[in-house]
Amino acid sequence: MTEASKPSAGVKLPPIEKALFLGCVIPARLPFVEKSAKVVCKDLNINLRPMKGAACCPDPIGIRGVSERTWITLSTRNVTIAEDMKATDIMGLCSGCVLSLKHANHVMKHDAYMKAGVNESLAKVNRSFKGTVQTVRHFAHVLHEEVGLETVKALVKKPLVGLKVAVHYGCHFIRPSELHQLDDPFFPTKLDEIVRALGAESVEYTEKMLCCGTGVNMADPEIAVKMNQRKYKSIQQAGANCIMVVCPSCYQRLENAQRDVKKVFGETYEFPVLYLTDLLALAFGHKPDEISIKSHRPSPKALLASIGIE
Amino acid sequence: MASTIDFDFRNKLLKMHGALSLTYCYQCGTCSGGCPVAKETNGKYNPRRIIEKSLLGMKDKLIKDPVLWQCTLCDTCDESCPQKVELTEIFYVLKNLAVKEGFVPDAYKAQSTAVFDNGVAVPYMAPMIRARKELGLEQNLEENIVIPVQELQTLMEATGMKEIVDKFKAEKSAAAPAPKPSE
Repeated sequence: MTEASKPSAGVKLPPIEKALFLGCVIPARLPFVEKSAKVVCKDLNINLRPMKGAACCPDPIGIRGVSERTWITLSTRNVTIAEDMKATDIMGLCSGCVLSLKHANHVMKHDAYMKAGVNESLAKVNRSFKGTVQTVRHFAHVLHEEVGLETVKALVKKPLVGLKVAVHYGCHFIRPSELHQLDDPFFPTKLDEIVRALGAESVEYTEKMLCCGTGVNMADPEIAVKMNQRKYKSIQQAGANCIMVVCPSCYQRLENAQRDVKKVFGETYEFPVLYLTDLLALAFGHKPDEISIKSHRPSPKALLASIGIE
Repeated sequence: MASTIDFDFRNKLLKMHGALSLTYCYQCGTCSGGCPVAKETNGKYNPRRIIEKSLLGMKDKLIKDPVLWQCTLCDTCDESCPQKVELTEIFYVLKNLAVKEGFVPDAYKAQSTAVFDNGVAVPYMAPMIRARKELGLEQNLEENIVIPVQELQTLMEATGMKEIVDKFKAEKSAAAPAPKPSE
């Protein structure tokens, strides 16, 4: 790599250290997202420490719905892995994982009754929650608050001019807002700001804050597909040419539901779904092949080629 | 189904951790107005009504009705409630109670069983292990694939999940056709 093609050339990047909580879906279903995240973190000088022995976060929809106590106990166990590594900051790539661990870390610090009960269970496996982890954040949160948009802009080698992005925040990335303390729960702006910093356009659309439908899909897929149809229609009307997400559940849902909507309603939508880290990697000058862009369905290849990325 | 008020259930619910904000509700309906599922179901799914039934203690209508599980967990209602009723938290409490009585959708049963058996909701499959290698992620796989299933199962037993999953498994094998008797 020549000096000029190095993403960090000329940009001051203070190191950021994070314990990385990968969760289940990204490493086991969407490894290309893990790849783009790792490529981008390297460019941003974010040092990722793996959390050995970490397990399911567990799912804040499915597992919490069945047993709240199991949910908080297993997510607290994941936090104690970071504590034992002497890590003070956990970073996740998935909104659901971040919610689970952040909720556990918060409740265990502020609810003595819960803490006593959960620690009693954890004692059976020689663990205990100490409360030394200071922050649990999503990558996008770290990017906006710790790295900063000016740094992101300075690292852009290939501005994504021509991408008309329908930003999908997803529910658990910002809500509950009292827990996340990240953005407005109804009119968030942070992801749009990041998209614009990369040179792409963030397209406003009516159903921007509509849920991807993963939650209701577990119990009633018919309702979920109606929600998806509503969302795609609104994205199309607004003239966007791709969707951006920050959560693997939203990713899978918004990719797969295009096929479901076609089957149920006979309407064809062909929006490539890109992860925030994919857009960053491409804007920082990485090739689509490096982050396995071919793994996305529908394929973003033609769209990227149309803006000169091949 | 006749609507009956179960006072014991009502009193139990009102004292439960997670359902303490129930009594703040003055039934304004802001929750239902903003609910995306209410919109798609033409009001058949109605969070205000679930809260009303909870306040009255209509146990059977709450936990036996599959409508309870139609919430998409988007937290829109909690964020817009002028009384700060934690609706989603209350729905979790109700769902946990419904599970104890055996009312739970199949997808939830399957996921809980997977997490109990494997420690993760999504196990690693051979094609994904290959894809990881191609992407140069194999070293990380070595570090993360070791899921301490036994430790997790100890915790799931201590918190009641084992008992629940055992019931799901028993139900499933009872529903499956009986194996042919050996010759």
